[in-house]
Amino acid sequence: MTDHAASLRQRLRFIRDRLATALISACGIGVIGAVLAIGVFLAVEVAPLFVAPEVREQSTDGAPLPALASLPTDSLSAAGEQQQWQADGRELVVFQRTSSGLELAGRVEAVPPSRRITALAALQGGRALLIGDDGGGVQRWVTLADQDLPVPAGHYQALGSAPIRQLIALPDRQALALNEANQLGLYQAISGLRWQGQAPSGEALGWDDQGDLWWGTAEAASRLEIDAEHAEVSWRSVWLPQHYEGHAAPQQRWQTSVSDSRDEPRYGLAPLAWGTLKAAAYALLVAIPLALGAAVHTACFMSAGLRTRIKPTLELMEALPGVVLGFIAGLVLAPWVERHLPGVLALLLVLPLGMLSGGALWACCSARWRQRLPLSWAGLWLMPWLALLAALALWLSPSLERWWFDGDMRSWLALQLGLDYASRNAMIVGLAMGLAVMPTIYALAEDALSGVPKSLAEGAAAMGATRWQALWKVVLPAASPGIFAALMIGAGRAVGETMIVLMATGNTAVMTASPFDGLRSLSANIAIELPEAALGGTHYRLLFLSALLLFVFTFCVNTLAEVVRGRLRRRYQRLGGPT
Amino acid sequence: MLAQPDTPAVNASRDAVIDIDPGASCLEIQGLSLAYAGTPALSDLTLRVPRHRVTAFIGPSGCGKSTLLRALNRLHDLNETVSRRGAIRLEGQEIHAPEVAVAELRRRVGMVFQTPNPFPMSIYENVAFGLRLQGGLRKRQRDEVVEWALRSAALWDEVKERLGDSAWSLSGGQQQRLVIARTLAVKPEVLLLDEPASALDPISTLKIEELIRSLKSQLTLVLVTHNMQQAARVSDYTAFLHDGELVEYAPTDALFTNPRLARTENYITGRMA
Amino acid sequence: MRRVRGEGPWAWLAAGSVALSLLLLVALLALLAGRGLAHFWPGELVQIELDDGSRFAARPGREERSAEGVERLYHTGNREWLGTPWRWVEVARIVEQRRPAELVIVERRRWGDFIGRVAGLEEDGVALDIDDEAARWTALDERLGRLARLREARDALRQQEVMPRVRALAAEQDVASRARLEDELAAANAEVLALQARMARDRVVLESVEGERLALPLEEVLALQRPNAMSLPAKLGAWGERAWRFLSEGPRAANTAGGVWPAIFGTVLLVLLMSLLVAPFGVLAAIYLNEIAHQGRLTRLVRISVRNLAGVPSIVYGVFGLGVFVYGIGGSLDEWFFSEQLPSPTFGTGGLLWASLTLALLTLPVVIVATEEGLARIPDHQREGALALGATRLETLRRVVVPMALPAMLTGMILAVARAAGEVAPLMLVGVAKLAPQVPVDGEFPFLHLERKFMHLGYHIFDVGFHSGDVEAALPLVYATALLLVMVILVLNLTAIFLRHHLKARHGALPR
Repeated sequence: MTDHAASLRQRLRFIRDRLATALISACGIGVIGAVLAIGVFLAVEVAPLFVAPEVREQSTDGAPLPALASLPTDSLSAAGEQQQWQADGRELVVFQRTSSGLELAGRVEAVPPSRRITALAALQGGRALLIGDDGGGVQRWVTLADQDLPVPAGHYQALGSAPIRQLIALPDRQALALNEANQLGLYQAISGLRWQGQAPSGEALGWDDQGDLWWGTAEAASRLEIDAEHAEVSWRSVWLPQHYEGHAAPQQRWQTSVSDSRDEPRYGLAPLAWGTLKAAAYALLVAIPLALGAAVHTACFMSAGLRTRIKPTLELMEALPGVVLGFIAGLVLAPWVERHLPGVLALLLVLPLGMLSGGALWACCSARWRQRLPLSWAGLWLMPWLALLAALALWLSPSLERWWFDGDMRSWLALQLGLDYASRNAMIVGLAMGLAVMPTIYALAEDALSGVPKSLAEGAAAMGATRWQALWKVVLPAASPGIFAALMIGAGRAVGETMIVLMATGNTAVMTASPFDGLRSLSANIAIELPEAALGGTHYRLLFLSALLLFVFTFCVNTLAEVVRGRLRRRYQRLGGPT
Repeated sequence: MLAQPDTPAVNASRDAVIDIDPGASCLEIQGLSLAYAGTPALSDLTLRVPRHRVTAFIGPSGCGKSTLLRALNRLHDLNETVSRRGAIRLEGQEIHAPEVAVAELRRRVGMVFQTPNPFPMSIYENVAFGLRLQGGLRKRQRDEVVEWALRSAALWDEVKERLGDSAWSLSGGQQQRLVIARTLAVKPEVLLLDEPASALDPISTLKIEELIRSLKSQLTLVLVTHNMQQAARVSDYTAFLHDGELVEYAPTDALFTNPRLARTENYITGRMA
Repeated sequence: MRRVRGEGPWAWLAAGSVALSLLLLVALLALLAGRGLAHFWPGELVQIELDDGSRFAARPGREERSAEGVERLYHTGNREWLGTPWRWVEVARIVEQRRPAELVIVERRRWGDFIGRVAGLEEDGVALDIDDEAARWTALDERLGRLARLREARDALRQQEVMPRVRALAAEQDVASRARLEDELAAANAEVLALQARMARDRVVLESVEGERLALPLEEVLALQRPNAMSLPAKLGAWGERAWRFLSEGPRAANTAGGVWPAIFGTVLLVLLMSLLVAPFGVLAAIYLNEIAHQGRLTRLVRISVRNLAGVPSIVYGVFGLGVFVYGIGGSLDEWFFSEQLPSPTFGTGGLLWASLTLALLTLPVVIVATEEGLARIPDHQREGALALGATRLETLRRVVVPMALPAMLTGMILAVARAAGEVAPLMLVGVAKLAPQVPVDGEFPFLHLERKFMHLGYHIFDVGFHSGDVEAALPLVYATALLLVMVILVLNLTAIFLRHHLKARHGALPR
């Protein structure tokens, strides 16, 4: 072995070290970057939704005017799907289209007394009508299935103060409004005025075979480029009630699966957000008492030997796949609860009472029995007792129904409380998702409670407090940030859970608080609709928006929990607990 | 903290610091200052460590003696918050020079830590660890070096029957000697010992001390300890550090029997907190 | 005594929560195990006479109590005459109930189960004259055995003689050898046809309790049982056989019958691919975060973010996978390499590759967090010990740090696999299919078809449970599938717990 070979080998080692370090760094940064890019990507996909629409004049450099389909010449009349409208002063004259021809359906005053209608246009689908008046006002009226006359459905922001000269209907329920001052405005049925500016010189000429609008004079024409792909969506329109076609009043609706283009899509995220929060709330209602109670018992009362077995067992529940819980909830629990409703509701009362009566009975027992069944093992020996009580409650279910609910609780609910009972409802989701979220909260809360330095509780006990008092006055306050973090993380999980909600609810986007109604959550909605949504469309981007909302919500909630937990850990270290 | 007003630090230090002949010195520290995230740990330290001798650094906890030791084989490189001024020369070569490979430096300047830290491998593999890194040895040669290192660390007779056993099955004292053997195997020129016996029982401590004395013939040893008896027993020269400064540096006998400065005397007689 | 009472009601409510949680868990697992395993049991058949004199044979199912009385669900089979294989009967209307030993249940290729009697046997359309019940049964068994042998011979012939020649023919250009191959192929095909003709020889004549007769070619019979005449060991054997068929066969009858083998295969393959992707990258990212990155404020922020990503809903990852992998990368791949097949997409639609990538992304935080915890638990003096011996950073990592963190990495991987195996929501966006006719692995180049859609146990549960026409028929299958999935995931988790425990024990012995 020569020195030369040795030094060469050394050099190789160091080069290899550099290379590997660089490689690991590159990989690490890349991977972490990729993972963190999720939020950025979602935001990028969502951003076009909120880009302001724009109408531009596209110069054609003197190219010859193509063959154009002409625009309707009479701006004072418009033809809808079932109706024909005519402007007459301030009144709108409505004709119904029947098999024998047009039939006068009635007249209705559409503009304020001092004004008169100057332009009409039927929007795409023919179930809504735009009305322009001589004060620059633009408003939308919609037809109803069961009424002859249309009803007003939105006053838009006026286009200046000059009279509207012309309304040109565009695809996607948009329309261009042109007034006498030569101002041009882009209106959308739901979101109103989205753009306004000066109109090019000349007038609207017509449509070419690409569907583009040409403007100008026969000698010098140009194409109008209307950049308003997602004009029907604005931040307000997504969250506030909107007046959709076919309704008499504004509604919160999510209804995108339109069969044909004559139906107006309804993009209201509020019912979905409501469904998400409602499902999470019912799940937490089940999970929090169960998880905190179990955590308190495991951390403070249970014998150490039992604790090492019970804790992993309960934590193992976290691993149960959502699809299995959802299947049990949707196909087994839901029909079963529907048949045993009184019994199930009675369980809510019987189980806590059973726990308490178990305690009371125990206190009455002889000392020998109390030694044999100590409180530190109560988590186990209460099980048969509770099972017995539950069986009893269910066995009595039909009798309860006969005595108190006239033999059928569901019709009793509908009659007495006005509650509809959907088979797959929020209560079922609450039970199933509660079971899914419970272990998460339990594990974190138990860690927080058992992390409280023993000296604290012992100090309280030395002053004569019972274990429960010591727990309530000393341990719980000390552990409260950890418990808060546990609840936050549990809430994050409940909000994002997909399969359980998808399978255990009817996925109906209704906004009620009743535990017996179904719901549709953001996550389940994504799972159902995204595979069918057209790439890059408004629907697609709105689903991305819901994903972004879920992402931001859970990320914030988890960060908050993480920060609180970190602070708690440092506090325990100061108090001399285990590091 | 100090009982009496201080004389000007620089003069006092110079007076109390002996000068080792540059030809006989192995390590030379010049004007070394170190700070952790802005908090100074060592300030303007200058001394020479003699070759083939045991030099002990003593001083109260937090005086910077371990920091100094770790600076000698650039372990502070791992911590970006450490800032350094001054020079450390090993056999006349500046160890922070760009052409010095830090891994090669650390091979030449071995280090043994307070707690025994054998790797989770067999006894044999622990000793052969450094050899395998260097490479270029055949198995027979490697076996010889391992045996030599274990013999040098006075461990061979205790473990020769079970070289394949896990190193963690050894007792604490044996583990520490194994760590020394592991370091010796790569033939370092300097061995830094950071309180090598503080986690051990008295009998193991004795064995380690014997070992330190016997290793003197092969290499230069630097020992950090807060056990003054230990320093007195094993070292040839002793440096007393306090608050990141070198207070006194003298042959061990002289320092313990006749300290020049009151601060030193206060410390070795136990009057300093 | 007073001290004991002083614990108060809350303590009992807390204890009750533990009991209730355990009770729920036990009930859930018992339900899955009971229903899932019972699905394969050859339950008894009964012959029932109602108060209106009508008779039918069926396998009894669950009962429901209502205000009117008790109703029982019967599986009657014989869908071609009765319209539905299920019948609810008021128990009070039952006049007589018998268990004749000769009742058979026949699992058929079409029309579901038949329940009734074996009336006779036909050979080439000629009825065999066997009067004795036992003899008829032996003859039937013999013929079923013969059929199985023939079927085996035919399948072997197809595999070994026909298919190689078909493949060779597709590749061969030379006219002479083509002609030779074609002749050989025709001969082999003729042999197969001959075998098939021999298989069609036997027919079994079945007669339902209501009196309908049916001559069923034996080849249509998948399984034939006389549960009432079976001894306990025979029943156990039949149970095992059906359970095995469930695991090893593909689904039939729009997923409401048959087995789940393609779903098992798809799940395992998916998880395997995901592990291959997530293991190196997760570990490298964790090593970077813990060992190489400057431990400052930024790293802490990144660490918290990565931890939080583990809590981001899985559907969000699915959306990301759809947007980036399927439409983004997949769409571009299609444009560049598979443009001749457009507009039908190759990679621009959900598939195995995109699904495993999405799951890998989903489980990355799990692996990173677990690995980082393992790395952080290694005492610094181990690293310093290696460095002090002259090891470079890479050598320290490779020889000391990574081996010590290996159990933690393994734990992280197992947890990741357990999470991935149970995850369904993101897969619905990136490539799971209700029925994938082609398994993603076959003998055709490149053998592993990453662009294909695949079946998945979890999605199978969702699909069969919620999208099949006959819920009653599907439910037992769903139970069995769910039991299988839960078992796999529980075993994985228990392994992880065991490993973690083992790891703690080992590091407890570490000198600190």
